[in-house]
Amino acid sequence: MRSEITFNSNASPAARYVGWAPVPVQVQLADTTGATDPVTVRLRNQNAAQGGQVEFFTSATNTGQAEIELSLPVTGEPADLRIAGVFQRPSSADGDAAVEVVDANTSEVLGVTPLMVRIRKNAATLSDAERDRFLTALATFNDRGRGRYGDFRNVHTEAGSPEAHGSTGFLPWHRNFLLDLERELQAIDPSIAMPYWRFDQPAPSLFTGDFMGVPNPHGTLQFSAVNPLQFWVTDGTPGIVRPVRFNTQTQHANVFSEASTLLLGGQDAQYEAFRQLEGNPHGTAHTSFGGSISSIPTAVKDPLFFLLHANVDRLWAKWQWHFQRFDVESTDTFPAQGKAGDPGANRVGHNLDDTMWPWNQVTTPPRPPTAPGGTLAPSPLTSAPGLSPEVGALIDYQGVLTPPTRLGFDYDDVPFEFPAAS
Amino acid sequence: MDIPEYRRQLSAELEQAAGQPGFRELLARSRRGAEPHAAAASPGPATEDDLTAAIAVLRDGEPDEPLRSAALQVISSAVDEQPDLIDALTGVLLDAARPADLRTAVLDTLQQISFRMVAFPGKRPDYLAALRSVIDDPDAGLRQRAIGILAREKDEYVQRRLIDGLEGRSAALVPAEKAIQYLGYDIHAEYFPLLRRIVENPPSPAARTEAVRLLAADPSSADLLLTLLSNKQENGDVRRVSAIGLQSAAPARFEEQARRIVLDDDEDDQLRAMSITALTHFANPEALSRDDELTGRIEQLRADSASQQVRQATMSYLAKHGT
Amino acid sequence: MQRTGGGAPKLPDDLDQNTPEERIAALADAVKSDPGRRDSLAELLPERIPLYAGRSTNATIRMRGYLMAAFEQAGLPDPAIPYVLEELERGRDAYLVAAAARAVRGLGSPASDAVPFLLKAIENIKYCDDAVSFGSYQPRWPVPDRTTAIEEIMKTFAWLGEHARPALPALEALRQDRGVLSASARAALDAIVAELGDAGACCCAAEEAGAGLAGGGYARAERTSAAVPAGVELEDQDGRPVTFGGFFTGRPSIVVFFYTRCDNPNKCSLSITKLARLQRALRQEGWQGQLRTAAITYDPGYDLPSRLSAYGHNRGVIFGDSDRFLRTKTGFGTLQEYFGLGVNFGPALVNRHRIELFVLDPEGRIAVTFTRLQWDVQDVLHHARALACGPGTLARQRRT
Repeated sequence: MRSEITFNSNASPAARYVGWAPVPVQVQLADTTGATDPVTVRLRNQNAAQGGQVEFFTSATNTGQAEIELSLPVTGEPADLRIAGVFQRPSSADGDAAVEVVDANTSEVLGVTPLMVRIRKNAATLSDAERDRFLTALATFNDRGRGRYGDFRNVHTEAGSPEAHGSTGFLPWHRNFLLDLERELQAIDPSIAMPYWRFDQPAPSLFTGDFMGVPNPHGTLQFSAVNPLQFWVTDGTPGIVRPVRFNTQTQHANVFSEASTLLLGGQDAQYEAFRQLEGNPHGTAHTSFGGSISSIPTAVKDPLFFLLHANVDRLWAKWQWHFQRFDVESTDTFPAQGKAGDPGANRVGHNLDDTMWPWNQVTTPPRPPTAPGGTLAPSPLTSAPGLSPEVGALIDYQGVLTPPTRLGFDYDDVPFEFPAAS
Repeated sequence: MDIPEYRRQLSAELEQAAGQPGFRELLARSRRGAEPHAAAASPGPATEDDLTAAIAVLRDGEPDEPLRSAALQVISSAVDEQPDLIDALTGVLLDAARPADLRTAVLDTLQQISFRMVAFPGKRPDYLAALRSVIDDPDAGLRQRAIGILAREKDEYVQRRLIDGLEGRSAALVPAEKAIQYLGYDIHAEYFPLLRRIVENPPSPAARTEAVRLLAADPSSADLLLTLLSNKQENGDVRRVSAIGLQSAAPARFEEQARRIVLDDDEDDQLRAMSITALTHFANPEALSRDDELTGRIEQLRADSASQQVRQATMSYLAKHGT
Repeated sequence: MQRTGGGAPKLPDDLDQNTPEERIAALADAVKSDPGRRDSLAELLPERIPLYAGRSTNATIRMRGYLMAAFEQAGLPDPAIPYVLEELERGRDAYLVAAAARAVRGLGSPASDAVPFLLKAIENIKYCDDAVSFGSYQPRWPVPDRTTAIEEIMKTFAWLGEHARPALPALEALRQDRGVLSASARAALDAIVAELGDAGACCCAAEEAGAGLAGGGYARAERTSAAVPAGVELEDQDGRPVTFGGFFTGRPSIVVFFYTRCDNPNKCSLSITKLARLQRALRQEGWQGQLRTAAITYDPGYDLPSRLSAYGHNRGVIFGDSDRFLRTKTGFGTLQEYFGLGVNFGPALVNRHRIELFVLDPEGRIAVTFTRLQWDVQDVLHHARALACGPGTLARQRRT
């Protein structure tokens, strides 16, 4: 007799990745020849001392447990439960977490299913192995300028800028842009989660030859001889230009602190006020360097763009969690309800019900004339937010209020909480 | 981690941040001649008085860094509602009588605002025109900043001025390696013949290296890159940049060279480590699996090389392609 | 507006790639005060003339823009009109768009035909407008006579007077877009709208106003008599070799020219995106396999198969035996001559090109060309289907 576990409604090992938000799981028995009575099993972390850790939820409770007991019929019908990563106990390698299923009566191990508590982490805290896997995936996706990173570069240009900046859609658009790249990298190496550059703290390990590079005296980055980013090419030209305007080893960028940023929305936490972060710290982070990252039309030539925006997104995620801003129908969460063309609506792409370019593949005015890259990369974990998502689909990214909207990522310092009982 | 406790910690941090002085307090301190305070936190909504005072601080005052920063933040936060505030900022930028560090901070703010200038694109022409005036500024730092921004916009005027400087038709605005780097933002700037001349007759070693880097985008320069890479007497930086360029321009030819470099006992270790790394990540795995000579050599280097980077490179290679 | 037909332009004998730019500028300045010579300026607009060979893109823009702006004073000759309209319809360089807007004011009399092109130009340029100057050639900044593309467009609307009425609804909507205009452009727009008065009195829409022009593209149906370059060696996006004759004979073909390093999204990227739409239309109408589609790169040295493949896939192109992207292995010059390509090159890259789509008959001969302006998918398919049905069904058409 053995047990089988299915994560995220997908039997494939490609679906065995969890964050802090609970995901649907099914457990069932197999090879039950001769057995007649239901079997009580206990699910637990295989090794509580190391690796990622998960907790278990029945359908009846929102309190996570370190272990859970279930009664499984010998007919093989699955039992439903939910699993989530334990906050701040993420994995550092694929499969370093594992769910062990034991017979509660005999203590026989019926199955061990490795998984990963895959979390977006502060880039400055990555292990060498995590860093190198990320860099390898990134360089592979760039493929010396011939890879599909070129599409990402060609999206974030002057032509596409109105879709992504200067209005309410700024945060959801970039959340989707990040998600798209992350999923592409996960198709290369599923252990990857997008790291973030916490720009209001010094990050000396990030700005080294082994990671995101060190500028030479005129600002062209140098990498160690074993760093695949040394072969980075965009627009047919190798290299990244990033002169530095602060001491990356001892200082942080000249930006608002995280606390100040979270207060931008005011004590009543209004999204439109919070969106001032597009100026500071977002704009100031971009311009804390010279070179490609400091101008919109060239910013994505530098892969640091994505680590910068992962932090911008993390700040939004943290604001959402702290002020409980997940209700898409609330103007506090997102003020531009409806769609473009409605009375009082914003520019197209910046309203809740608008689809987002380029993933909607619309190339007729007022959208840009070209839509590089196609639809959003799919995920084995979830069908959300859809291949051509609407703005609103990016808001409840953890599925706090609407579990099916869970997008499959979490940040190391932004927990999941069930909504307060009304 | 207890999440309710985590939430309480964050709330406490926010409360502390909310108590930090904003622009008004910093201005009042400045007027009292008090000591400068730490950088201001996010301001509340700016009033017209705040904006008037902030502009006056930048135009006429001698603000310390925190006050200057706070004043710029007040203005920046109001630009969405009052785009004409950008005119006040460009006015300060263009006023050569104001201190260079103040004008640089103003340019920082304008550049930050440019990330959302789609909200008020009518201001873009004035912004770019102001930058064109700044490329002749007495302050070298401001000049380079303005040139960089314009170069990334593929600005015709700045390209013209940079090329004139490189060709010797006028005084150079910036060192040659910076001019080359700025022109590199626009492949249509079409200065590959100039770059080849610079490789032959460089004004500086840095300019030569930068020129080699950018020649990777010129298909007809692949032979030159190969020659530079193959020449063991050539400058190490140039060889490495040539390798990267050849890897982009002519990958098959690069891989031949990379293989040769790995097998050659008499080669530069950094170049060798780079070559192994390139093969690890980008070469055809089937071809590598059939190359017993290369694999054997890499195994030997893992055991014997005196270079830590070479050994590290070999371990990555063998982890991916080893038997 | 009338347009003359195509044919090789007469180039002044001593203007070529070595001609100093200042001489071209002086020519433009001279023509401003001697309008009888304006046709000579029009002869300097075709992309393929030796004048532009070896120049950078920005140098080409400088020269063409200064020439085009001169038509405001010299008068706009018919041969120059397609270039002006092309720039308004597709251009994203503020200097050229401003020059084109000025050139419209050189028409003999205001015509509402220009309205849709001017409105399209606003859409193209509003987020990438720039300060420009035509007071002198290659000015040194700061300049005393700064203008912008949108300001020039507004001046042209003002010049059109009553003929701008079809634009009134769009101009009213533009007034609501608070941040898009500079103060002077807004003042000009307010004056135009005030002058035109009630939008309800508009007699026709902007699109209708332009209906007199080839709004679906400049199409010319004229079977070439030049020998088909059957032996030119090509390579497709998968690295498969094929000759021109091997691919382009046996069935009618639709071929566009492009290159992956084109930085105007309204040109190559849009052309390929539309080619993908055309392919889907072919399949929906059951014409798959009866017509071939192809895109040939201007930049064969850089646009290797992997780049061709990626570019097409990323724009939804369908690849197959009858649908390919191609680069020349040898003989690009032969194709350039055969198609009369509207392209020129700097030292290494394309510096300027027009939009060009060709419909070839089953013998590989050029039967219909669409150049400069937006081509319509159904227009192209109409011509291609006619060829597929047999030569007798191809009507000779000249779009008015």
